Amino acid sequence: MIEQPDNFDLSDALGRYARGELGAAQIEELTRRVNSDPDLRSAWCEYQISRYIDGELTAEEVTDLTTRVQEDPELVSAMEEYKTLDAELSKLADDVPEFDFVMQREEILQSVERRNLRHRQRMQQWVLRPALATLAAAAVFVLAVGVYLMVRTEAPAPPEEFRVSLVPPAPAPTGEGPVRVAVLPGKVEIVKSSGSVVALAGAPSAETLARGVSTYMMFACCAGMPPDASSPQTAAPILQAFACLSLYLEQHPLTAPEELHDEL
Amino acid sequence: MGKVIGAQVPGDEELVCLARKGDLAAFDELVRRYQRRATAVAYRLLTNRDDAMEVAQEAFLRAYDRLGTLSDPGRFGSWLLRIISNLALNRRRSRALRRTASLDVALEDEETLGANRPDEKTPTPLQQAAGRDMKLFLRDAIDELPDMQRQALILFSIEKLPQKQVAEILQCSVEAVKWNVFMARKRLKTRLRDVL
Repeated sequence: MIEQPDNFDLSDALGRYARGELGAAQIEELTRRVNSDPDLRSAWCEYQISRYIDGELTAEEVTDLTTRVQEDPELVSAMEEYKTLDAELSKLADDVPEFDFVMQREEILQSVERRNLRHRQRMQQWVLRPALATLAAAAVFVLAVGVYLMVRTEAPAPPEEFRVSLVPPAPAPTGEGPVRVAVLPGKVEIVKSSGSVVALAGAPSAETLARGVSTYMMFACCAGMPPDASSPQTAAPILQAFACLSLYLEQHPLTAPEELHDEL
Repeated sequence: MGKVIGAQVPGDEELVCLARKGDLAAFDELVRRYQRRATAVAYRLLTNRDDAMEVAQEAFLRAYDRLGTLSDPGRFGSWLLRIISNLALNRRRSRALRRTASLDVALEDEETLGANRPDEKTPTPLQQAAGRDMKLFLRDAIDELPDMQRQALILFSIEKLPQKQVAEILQCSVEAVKWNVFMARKRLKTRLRDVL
């Protein structure tokens, strides 16, 4: 490589000079360095010769180079050497062995066709894969639904003790806020929202009430939702049960839980 | 095969667009258009006929596979030559590695067999050059240039491509091309001084 003392980057400077990026002061500095250092001057002149051969020098640069070459016999021989070298390099342009371009083209096209075929096959696989995946997903779904239905069918019988919240759409007993009703064999429990239990043993409509609430609970347990009160199959016993409750509560209005306990 | 290219000569851009859509005739035309230059450049970079054919073929196939990534279809030629130069560089490196490996084996064999070391008075390349064909000598000298200088010199001074296109192929600035061409010439001149 060319010696570049003082961290001076000649290639960078020359490049910037050639691009016209150097200001007047920088060009002056470059010129000063080039003129003061024989190695740099030689490198600079050779670079200019190279550019001259490529026809890149401006008229001003040609004049400058001509002057320098005339002053320096070494540059004359350098110029001749570069010209000869360039001529020899140009001769290499024809120095290419015979190639069978027809065969080469055929081989390229055959390879492309083979690749296209492989690509199509891969694409077909990619089209088939989602279809298989969809089928598998559908099978899993059907299986899951089957298992769910089977588990639901085999769900345990409702517990002996029913507890239900009389929340909308089912109306709460008259005059009361949220109240829960529990039906046990032989007795009915009304559970206030506070959680206290009031036993109502011997209520005259306990069986009817129990039947209605059982129906209510059956729907609530199996379907996971309150029964449809508009359905004639379920509405009648439920309404009957609530009517009994209402009647009973009219006769025995609920007071504070403590008081009810005290009554019992 | 795709549709036949019409009487009007289509540009690279049109051919690339057609080839992207799977028109093999269009790609065939691109191959026909660039295979000579591509193979010649590969040959100059590799100085081996078979390697050049293989690299050119591989470059066309790679170009076909990646036509979709070519941002400017009008610059197919430069793009193809960039692929050629990259593939050629890789092949040179792997060839050099193989050569080093085989040389190691040869040296081991020599030591094992107690063979004589090469004569230290073997003529230098410059001395040998006097009796050799100038083209061969020049080709060898180019072969020993650093990669960037060799590529710049081959593309610019031998293939006569414009500096701007060489810069595109080598992915560097035009100034870097000029500088590398200059440095390559300078090295060659020094190397071949006795011959020129």
